[in-house]
Amino acid sequence: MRKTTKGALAIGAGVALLLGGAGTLANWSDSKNLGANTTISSGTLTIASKTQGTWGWASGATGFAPGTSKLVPGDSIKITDVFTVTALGDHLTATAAYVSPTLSGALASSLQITTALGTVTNKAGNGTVTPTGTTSVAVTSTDSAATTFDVPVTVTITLPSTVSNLTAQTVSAAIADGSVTLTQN
Amino acid sequence: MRGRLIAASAVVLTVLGGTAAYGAWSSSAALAAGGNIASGTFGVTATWSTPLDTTGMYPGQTRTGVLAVAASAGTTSRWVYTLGAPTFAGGLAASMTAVVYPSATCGGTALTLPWTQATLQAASATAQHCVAVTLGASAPSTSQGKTVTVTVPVTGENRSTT
Repeated sequence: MRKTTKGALAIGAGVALLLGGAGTLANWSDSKNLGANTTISSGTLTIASKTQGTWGWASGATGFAPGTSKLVPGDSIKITDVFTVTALGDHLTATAAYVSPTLSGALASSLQITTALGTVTNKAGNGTVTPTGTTSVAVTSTDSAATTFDVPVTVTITLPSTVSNLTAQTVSAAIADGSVTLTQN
Repeated sequence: MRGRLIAASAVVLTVLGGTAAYGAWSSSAALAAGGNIASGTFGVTATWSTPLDTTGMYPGQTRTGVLAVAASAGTTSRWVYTLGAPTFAGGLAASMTAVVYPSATCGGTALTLPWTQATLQAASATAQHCVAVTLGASAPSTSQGKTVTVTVPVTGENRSTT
């Protein structure tokens, strides 16, 4: 073949290779799997009832029966429930707080209700537990080990001695559940 | 042919605006399982366990009776009470005096009225007091044939059940 023909063929091949965007180009490429063999886990944030109390005289006397025993001005009854908090997370903060039970019925308006968090017990784990008075408790988890603790919550209902004359006699009230909620901050 | 090696990477960021909702963990449990509360009743009764008879009294004479103070039926709480000064009504009223004793025994040191029993009384307790009334020695002749009624005010107040 003549040299001219060879050169023409070479140029033609080069042109074919340089054809623009409408054609298919081959470029070098390489790929790797990102995060291969890596496990991601989530933590835990729960509050659960550990011990459910029963209503009794706040004085400690025995014999109170809900709906049967009759309160008079100056009487108080109370109940203490214990809850277990579990917090697990490397950067987890949460606060536990209560919503008081509500009262309804003819006696309700004469009653006073108070709710309070008690002393934290049975703490385990490396996190911190910080009460704010008797209204809430904050928990912080900073590692991969669960932080747990128990917190008692006491509800007290009083028929005040300031009830005047003969008001609020022989009436009743119903107690609706309150709640204790643990919320991530 | 000179080739070109192109390395490209892209990171796409999705940024949530301030008004978008985001979730935080929360958990809750019920507190203080519901129940019912009922209130009781309270009242006080005052009766003559030994009647005080003031008929046919003459000047200088003293007659006695025993006052019984109790909480009304259905009371379940403790209670206390206060005795006030007796009052008189009727034709002999102006000439009458009265004293009240700490117990059913008519003697000893009389109470200074008004007087409050501070000791908590049990729901079913009954307290007794001797009441002695005297028609004054200087009662005029016009007092003859007149009558008198005696009223002893008693105020009860409940205290807590326990």
